Amino acid sequence: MRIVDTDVHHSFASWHAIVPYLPPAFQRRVIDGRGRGLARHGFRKISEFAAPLATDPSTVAGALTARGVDRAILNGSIHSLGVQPNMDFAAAIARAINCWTFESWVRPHPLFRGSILIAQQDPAAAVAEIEHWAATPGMVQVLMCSASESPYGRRQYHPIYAACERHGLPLALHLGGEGAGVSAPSTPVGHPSTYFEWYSALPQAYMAHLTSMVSEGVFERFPGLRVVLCEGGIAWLPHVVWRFEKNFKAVRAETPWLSKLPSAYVWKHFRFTSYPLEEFRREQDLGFLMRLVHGETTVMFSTGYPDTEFGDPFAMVDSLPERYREAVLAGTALTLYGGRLAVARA
Amino acid sequence: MAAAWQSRVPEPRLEYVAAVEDLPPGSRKILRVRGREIGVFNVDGRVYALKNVCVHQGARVCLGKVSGTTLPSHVYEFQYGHEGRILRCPWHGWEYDVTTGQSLFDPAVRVVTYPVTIVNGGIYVRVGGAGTV
Repeated sequence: MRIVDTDVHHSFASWHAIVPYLPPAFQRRVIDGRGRGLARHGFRKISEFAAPLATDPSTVAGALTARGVDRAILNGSIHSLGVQPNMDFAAAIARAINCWTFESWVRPHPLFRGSILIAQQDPAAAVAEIEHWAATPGMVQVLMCSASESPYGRRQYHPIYAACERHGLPLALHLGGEGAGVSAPSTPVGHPSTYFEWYSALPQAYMAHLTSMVSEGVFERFPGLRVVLCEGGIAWLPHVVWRFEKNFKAVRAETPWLSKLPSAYVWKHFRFTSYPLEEFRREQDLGFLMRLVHGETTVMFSTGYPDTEFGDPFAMVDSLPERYREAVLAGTALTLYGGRLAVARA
Repeated sequence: MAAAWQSRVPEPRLEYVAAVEDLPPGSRKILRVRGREIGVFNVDGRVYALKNVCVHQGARVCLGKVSGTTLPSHVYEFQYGHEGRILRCPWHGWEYDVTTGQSLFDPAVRVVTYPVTIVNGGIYVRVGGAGTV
């Protein structure tokens, strides 16, 4: 196994693709609404140069295989289900997308692995969705949007983590729904004005979720849980983790259940996908950053296919020092996803 | 034959710091002993001696508040305990267990402690000479 791509954004060309998997009441809503039933934020990139969506499984498989990718994990393009005001509709869409992903992408193509998309604002429904797919070969992780009403350490989300741990499924978060529906504003100080500002500030959501999950003891309760932060980069980690750790020494008494320093939880339980890896003028600076974030066990290659917003995902890892290359390209993902990823399917 | 550097380091010896009757349970004294400041604490009838230096940034830690704290617990449980045994550094709030010198956030992080001996109603602390810890 040479290259594992941990974040591919597959899409359907039309909402009709998922209609057969919806209950009748919601079929009507989707057909008539053509997707408008989902609450959105107002931030769209208007560009004539946008890459075509990844709607055809064979084309995507061909493009990734040509670059040496041996396994690709599908995270889709709808990253706002968890902030939809109508949580029943959101749960139905999640189920339908999972069925479509499995039937149209994962089952026919040995390259692809699926994510179990959930709508986490209704944790009971999210757990039911995890249970439905957990034993299905080819589904390798649980996926929810980083956009949310509350930080993910809070206890209403813990049943989701229990289900992930019970089935040995990593939990991936993906940016993109921030500010939509019932989401908190996409930055801690309120709503931005432009797509440019919104998109640039997105990783702030990860900073909040990471500190929340560690401090509320998620990894004390669920020591087997692993969390993958997709598309958020890594250069913010040294700052956040340093500050987090520094404060813990002074105010440990607020969270007496933490038996380890915050950094120990971060490096053990979180993984980060490489698209986009921050760029530096000097190559050695990326090596320095990788050392600070324990990159030999925390960073996993991804393309974000078909996105090109940040440049060529393969070029990003080309400048990695040799000692990180194998782990980033495949090793860390193989360790994380184990047999669900590695074992070939007929 | 002792090397030259050894001859400059005074042997540890017992130093008298206070009478037991002057250090009732819950009280502390801060004294200068052979060149360093030491805090002597009576916690529930036992006497402990800590160097008056926080390992974080050198604050005079023994001047901090002595109280209890939330003990290691399960998630979302709060158990207050060790009343009278937790010393909180006045600068940044690092908590130390007076009976061991260990910090609450990492037992490997600890203030220097000194063995204490009680002889004939007197409290003695075993310390090296000036220039040692």
